[in-house]
Amino acid sequence: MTDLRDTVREKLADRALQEALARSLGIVRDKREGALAELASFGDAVDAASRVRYQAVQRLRELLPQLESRLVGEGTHVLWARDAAEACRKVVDIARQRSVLRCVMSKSMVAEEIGLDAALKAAGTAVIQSDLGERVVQLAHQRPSHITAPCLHLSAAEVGRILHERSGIELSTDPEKLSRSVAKALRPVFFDAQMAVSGINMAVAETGHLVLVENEGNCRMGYTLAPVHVAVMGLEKVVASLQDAGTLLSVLARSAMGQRATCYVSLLPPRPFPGQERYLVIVDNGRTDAFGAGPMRDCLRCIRCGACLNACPVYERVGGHAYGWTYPGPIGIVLAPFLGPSEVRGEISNLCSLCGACTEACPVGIPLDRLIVLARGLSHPYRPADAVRKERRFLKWFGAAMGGRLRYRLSHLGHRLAGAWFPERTRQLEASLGWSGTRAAPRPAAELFRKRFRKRRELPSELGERDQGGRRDA
Amino acid sequence: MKVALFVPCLMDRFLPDAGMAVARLLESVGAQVVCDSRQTCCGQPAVNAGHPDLARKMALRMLKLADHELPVVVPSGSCVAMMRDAYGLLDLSGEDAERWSSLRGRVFELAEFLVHRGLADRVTARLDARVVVHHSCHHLRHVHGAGPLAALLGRLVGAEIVESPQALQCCGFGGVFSVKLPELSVALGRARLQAMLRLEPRYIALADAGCALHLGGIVEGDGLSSRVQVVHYAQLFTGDGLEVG
Repeated sequence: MTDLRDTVREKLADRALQEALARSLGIVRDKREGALAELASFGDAVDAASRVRYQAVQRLRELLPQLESRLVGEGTHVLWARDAAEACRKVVDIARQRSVLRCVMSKSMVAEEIGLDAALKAAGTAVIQSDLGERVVQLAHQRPSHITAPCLHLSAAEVGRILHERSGIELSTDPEKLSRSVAKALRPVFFDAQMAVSGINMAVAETGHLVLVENEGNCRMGYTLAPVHVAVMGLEKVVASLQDAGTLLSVLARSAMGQRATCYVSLLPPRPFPGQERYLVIVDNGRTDAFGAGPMRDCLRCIRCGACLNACPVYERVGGHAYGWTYPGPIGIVLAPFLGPSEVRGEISNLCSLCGACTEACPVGIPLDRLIVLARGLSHPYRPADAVRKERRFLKWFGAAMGGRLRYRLSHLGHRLAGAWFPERTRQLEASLGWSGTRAAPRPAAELFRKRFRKRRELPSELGERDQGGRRDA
Repeated sequence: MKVALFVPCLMDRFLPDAGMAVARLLESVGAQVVCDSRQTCCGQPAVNAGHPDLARKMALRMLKLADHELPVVVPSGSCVAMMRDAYGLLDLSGEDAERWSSLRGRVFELAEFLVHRGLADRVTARLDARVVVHHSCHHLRHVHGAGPLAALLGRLVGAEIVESPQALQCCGFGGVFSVKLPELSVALGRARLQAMLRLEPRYIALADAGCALHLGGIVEGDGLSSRVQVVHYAQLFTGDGLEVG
């Protein structure tokens, strides 16, 4: 990752990005508010969903084998992958065995995480993304910038231009028209594809159902028409029962994009469709590490709705690409120590002011801001050693200055005198600490509060007044 | 009633007027205020920077100094959140853990204390000015202090209290965040400030010294000091440090 501060500067200076983010997130936030207001008590729904996810994560070791046996018993193949490479290899093997030349892929964060698109392409299988947003970023050779809205960083005009230039879609700025045109253009792709790859939103241990939610119908087209369906899931996506899946569905769409429900909810039964083969690839890729990481385990509760991104003031200004890997926003920060490439594990946790808007928005009760503090503790080995040393030296110095009454007062006096005697040098020091430019640095007061408070107490007239007050109360 | 006041380091050193206002406000409702001048910092900066080991000493010191029976009143949402919840990240044990569990139950944010103890009704103050309230995130989301603050501000006769449309969104301070990514921090602050200035307030009131110093620094840097002053809300009641006109 390049220097995070430079990345942030660049994003702040990108006018088109700022406009796209402000516009899209403004709409999403308003819609979400409306969708939540419709529920009698969103709080109760969140409590229920939180319990479901908490218990599912606690019971992973029991639920996953249960899911596997349900699926295998009905003829769905279950494959396990320890890491991204193994997951890709297994999917590529399936494609090779069946000489798959064309594969249609619907939106999947875990496929993005493991780089499945590129792995298939390298093995000679063409991959067409069928989700509109994913198709746009694929055509533009970009990466998605949001968990549920891959091209949120682009304006409608840019989307129209990309589709026109790269795919011959009629030029337009109307999202509905564009989505209809893309759907039409993709139609033959679905009939032609020899394999469909999808993610899943939940896998139900008790019954073996795979739950998929979407708005465009592309996912359903894919898994219905292709002779082979490969579903990829992170191992945390299992839930105990259909009842639990319903509980999560009641908060998922509302949290994600402020919809009551998504346009399509697929419940795939454990037995594949006649004439079709179905695979479920269960990916670890760092999730077991998260499971064993004490309170950080809570990050596995995530249902990938993106509500924390939409609520985040930092995401709103820097967009998803600034986070440098698959998962942006607050959830990206807490997943990075386990699922992220080592180059993002160092600085990503600084993209947070600890405001807690994410925690408030999370429909499954992940204490995101608290986990981000913990993630910062895990980030140091991945940061430049001298930066960590400098930071610790400063905090040690601060701790020393705070370690006693006299030292506290002397450090204040020192700060004050430095400002008076060496104003230029002090300004430089403040600038090196980040208080510069158009934000004036706070000036140490001529007299500490504590001194003023004590002095006032020693004044007889005031003492008299206060004593009266004290007596009145006693 | 006796209360132990903890004026956090930032307020003590940079906004002593606010500290005086807090003390006077407490006294005006009949509280006897004691303030241990050995208190310094609760340890928040090191915890939030991901170095809990470096915060431990400060936290233990704080716990030792607060090892009494008095309610501890703190005019800072983030310090209250630290002492009430985030000390849980420090793996305290034995005597320290006992001290913490005692402190947790009697550490209060200022408005929270006044309202929950029924003291807010005794507050009488007047300020003929328009005030915009911007929430401090820890005060809002960890202390759940919006209700008590509104109730307390309701006692301010003559004041027109308005809430900014972006009042619930982070001002961009965020402690270490404000110095690690200063451009982003200032961009967020300026956006909130501009939304507030459209309401033409004389004062912008916050519940945390850090946020006030950050927004105040932008006001000063942008040459807006004659138009608006960023204060701790306690100052509105006592007039300490308020610029008039």
